[in-house]
Amino acid sequence: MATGGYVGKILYVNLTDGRIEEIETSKYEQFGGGHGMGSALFWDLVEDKTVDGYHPDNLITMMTSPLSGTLVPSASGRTECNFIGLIAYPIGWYTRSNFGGRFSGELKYAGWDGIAIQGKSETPVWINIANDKVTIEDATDLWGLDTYETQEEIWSTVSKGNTDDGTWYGVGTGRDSGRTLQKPAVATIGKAGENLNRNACILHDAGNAAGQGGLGGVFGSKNLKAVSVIGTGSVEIADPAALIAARKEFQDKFAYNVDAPEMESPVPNFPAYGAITLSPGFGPLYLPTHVPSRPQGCIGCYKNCRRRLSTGVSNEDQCVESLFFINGSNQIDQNKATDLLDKAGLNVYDVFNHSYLYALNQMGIMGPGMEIESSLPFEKYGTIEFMEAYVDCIINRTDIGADLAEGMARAAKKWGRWEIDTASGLLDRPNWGFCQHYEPRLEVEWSYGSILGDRDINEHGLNFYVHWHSIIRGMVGQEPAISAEDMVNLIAEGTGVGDPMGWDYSEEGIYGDPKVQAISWHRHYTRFWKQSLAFCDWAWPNFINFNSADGDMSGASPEFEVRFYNAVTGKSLTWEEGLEIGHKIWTLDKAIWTLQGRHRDLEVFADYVYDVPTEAPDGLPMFIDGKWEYNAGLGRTLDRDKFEDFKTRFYANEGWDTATGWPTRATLEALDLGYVADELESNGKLGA
Amino acid sequence: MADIDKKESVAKAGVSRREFFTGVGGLGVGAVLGGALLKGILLPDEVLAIPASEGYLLVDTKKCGGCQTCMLTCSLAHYGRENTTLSRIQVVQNSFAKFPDDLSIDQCRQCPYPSCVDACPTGAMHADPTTGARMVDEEKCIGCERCVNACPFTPSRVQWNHEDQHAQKCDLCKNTPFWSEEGGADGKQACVEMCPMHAITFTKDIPVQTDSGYETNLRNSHWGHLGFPVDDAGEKMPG
Amino acid sequence: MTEQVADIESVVELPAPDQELAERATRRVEWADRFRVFRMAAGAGTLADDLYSMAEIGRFVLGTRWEMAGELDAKVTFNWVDVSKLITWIENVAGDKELADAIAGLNIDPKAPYKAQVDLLGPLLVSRYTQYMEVLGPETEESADSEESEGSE
Repeated sequence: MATGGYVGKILYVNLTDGRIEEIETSKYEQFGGGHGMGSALFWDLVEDKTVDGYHPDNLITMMTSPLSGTLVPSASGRTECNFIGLIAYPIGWYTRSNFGGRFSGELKYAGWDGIAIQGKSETPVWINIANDKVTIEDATDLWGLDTYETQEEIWSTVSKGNTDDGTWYGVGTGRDSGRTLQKPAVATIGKAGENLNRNACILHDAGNAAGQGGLGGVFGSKNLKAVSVIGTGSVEIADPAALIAARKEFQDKFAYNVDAPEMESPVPNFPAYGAITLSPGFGPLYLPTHVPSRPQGCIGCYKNCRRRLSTGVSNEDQCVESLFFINGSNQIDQNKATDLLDKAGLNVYDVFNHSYLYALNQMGIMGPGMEIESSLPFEKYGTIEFMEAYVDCIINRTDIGADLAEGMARAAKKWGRWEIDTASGLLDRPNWGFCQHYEPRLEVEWSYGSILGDRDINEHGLNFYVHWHSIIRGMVGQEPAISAEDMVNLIAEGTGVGDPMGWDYSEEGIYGDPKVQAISWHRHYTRFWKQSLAFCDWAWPNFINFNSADGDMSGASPEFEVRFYNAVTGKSLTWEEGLEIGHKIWTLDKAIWTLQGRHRDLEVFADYVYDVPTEAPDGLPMFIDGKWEYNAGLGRTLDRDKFEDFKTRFYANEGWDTATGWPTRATLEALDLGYVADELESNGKLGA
Repeated sequence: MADIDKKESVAKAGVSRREFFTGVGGLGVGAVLGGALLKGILLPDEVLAIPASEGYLLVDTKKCGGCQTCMLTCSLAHYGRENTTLSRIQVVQNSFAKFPDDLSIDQCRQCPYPSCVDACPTGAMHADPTTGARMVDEEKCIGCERCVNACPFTPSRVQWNHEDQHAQKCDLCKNTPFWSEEGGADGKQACVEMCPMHAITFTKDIPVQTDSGYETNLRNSHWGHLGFPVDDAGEKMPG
Repeated sequence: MTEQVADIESVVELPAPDQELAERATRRVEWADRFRVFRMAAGAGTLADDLYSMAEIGRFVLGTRWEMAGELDAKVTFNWVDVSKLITWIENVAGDKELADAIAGLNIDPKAPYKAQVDLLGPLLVSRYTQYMEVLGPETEESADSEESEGSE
């Protein structure tokens, strides 16, 4: 039986009046799932889209995709969250963040394609979903617990059977409601969220966080401590045999063979190499492991990129949060610092810049008796003691933590440092107050995507190829495994864009018309295939096969994404049709930002991006003097006028007004979003 | 909850053929039985009346990545739909626990003397005549769940399929209508084929059994190269 | 730092520094004289950091010694320094022209794979740091180490 991969209904919970309702999924199927469905729900359910993120009317959507809970590799386990954010500066844009683990699968098995939460409870509560039974529970006793304690407490409350004695747990009262050995999947806030930090995240299991945007603070503002779900139902698959066969073929051709790899790191215990080979446990990208561990993955993953360790410290935590204390002198303390964040429910990306605070201290600006008064133990900077004091002050809003809880950008603004330090690059926050992630002057699909959107995009699909491949090979003394020219050709072919110049990161290439097409493709691709169908950012797309057994380095994308989707849904969607849905979702988001106050004049980077040359080497493909090469890109700045010209061409390409960046009626109607055009027009914000 | 009653029924049964063999692991005796020894010397004639299974699943819990791909595959191959609850192999984990005690894999051991078969009043639970795999004839199942409760292991390796209303257990993929490969003891097993960590394997020989089940070490030097332990206990860093 | 490196035998030993040079070269410098380095991590991109002493720089440069990974007190990372800027820093801030010239004499190709650059640079830094410690004596080494542990690296 084909159900399109959906289980049919979306849960609506209003915490103000306690309403628990069902929304038919079918109404929103045109948006695919995940982000697209979330944005469509947001449009319908939030009357005034200009409210602050803390406002009770703010809507949190936690959405699955048709692929959630299925065998589709690295597409089963992500939950996409949409909401008005707290952290972006100067305006908390409507934003997104997703997290891995098994929440999405459990939600589907419970019979829900997603959750939409609105309103504000007067007292602390948590939402308990057990199949179709949904209750709002008192969270008074959970308030104050850290994220790990909260989950263990809820596991015990919901299914003490499977936590205590290892037997099957019956969900519901009769045997026909099903039994499970799985623990409920819980997403919860810690102290940071309870204290309404703008940089608070939600956490699920040990290391799955939705962090950017400040979702934890939004949970806290609703007095919502956690959402728990356990399910025993089924997800129908249109063509099971085709799905199994496609996964087997995909894994055989493109996965890292753990017993006999085609390509292996030249040095042992070097997980970073997995950014090329897709080997398991590669999450600790920076960090050779010092104690025994296993790889650990989200439900349905074929890579299993994280680890669980014999210390139990920093379990499942090997993405950016594990780099919080990167300047620590040893791995043990670094892992401890990671758990500090997880337990507090604090988003690493906003608190990453402790070296900035240390610099202010060394400059004589921040410290006891200094211009910015602080009693943080800067003399212990570089030790775990400092990190403990630092995290403690942020989550308890003490010392400079009272400012930092509002986010680093707002704190710097309050201290009178924002303009000067983002002009010099001492505080390297290029877009919307978010921490610099990849080099904004060079790797422009990252920076352009971020400034044209709402946050640091955090989309690694191309980044592992164009940035990491040559750098990692070089770090261990190897030449690139593929030439720059072959790489861009494979990407151009795989994306469907066709012109390899779209992936030219040279001084000329980053402003060219092919770059407009490449950036446009990236926005549409990620909005649909990645954020709405929930293909994992660390696994997809697959344009280059470094595990090839026969020398053919062509990747799995786009053939396999399409095969997987159609096997699950019974539909016959094409890659291009998916991209067009992505265009629709991206434009719907742009309409929301427009109502929030977005104008092209705001879509500019911090001054350092334009004025301070790059100092650290990159390894991006560049077309220079008629030849492709991997180039360090040292000394690069972005040119203001050229970027403004790029924006004009980009807006035109998207069908947006080039003077304002606002979507036009013609474009919206062509995307079947005429109702969006009406609302923009009534607010005087329709693009001309 | 469901198999709590089982403990009582086992206790009431007293010393039985069940404890003589299948109970050695599950009841904590900790005995180790080798295949040749078991087949050639220990088995009394009455036990041999139920043929031994022609195959067994072995798992390396220290190589498992916890992705539940085996479970998704099992459910899909047997029922054409995804439901971890309907998987006959179960990966159970605790995100906060320390490796290697953070995870167990609970698979049917195809017991030499199968309590589940013994307990079934209708013959629905039976040994497959050609491969010996212990499996359920769904048409004959009356839903009494005696088999579920008879399994000496915790959690029970026999499950109640609440959607289709019958007992179910691992059949080594003998009956997988939604998989295009030939399954069963003479064919392939979907979980073995699909595990991305190659942490499940299949053997024709009756395996050595311990309290923790049919365990095996499937980690070679390439695994160690990734910084994972390769010793049996998973206690040492490689190299 | 000195105990963690084995292959320094191949390094040509420089003339021993005097007390004044050793003290100057191993001191902790002020903000204005800091040395900027970069760490690279696929989850986070390239991260700038500031170092304030020769000991910190040495440890940072040696941070890519993967074979140390299994040691509990070790920490290996993906680090990058601009060798030409390091030469300038060592000459002008640390004040050790001999070391600066010796590094320049290695003719490290900035386009070479980074590990190759580090493999050339690291042993020389270790050798020179060992000389400083010999001049300053074990008591100083102890206090220098404890000071380092309070530093940023």
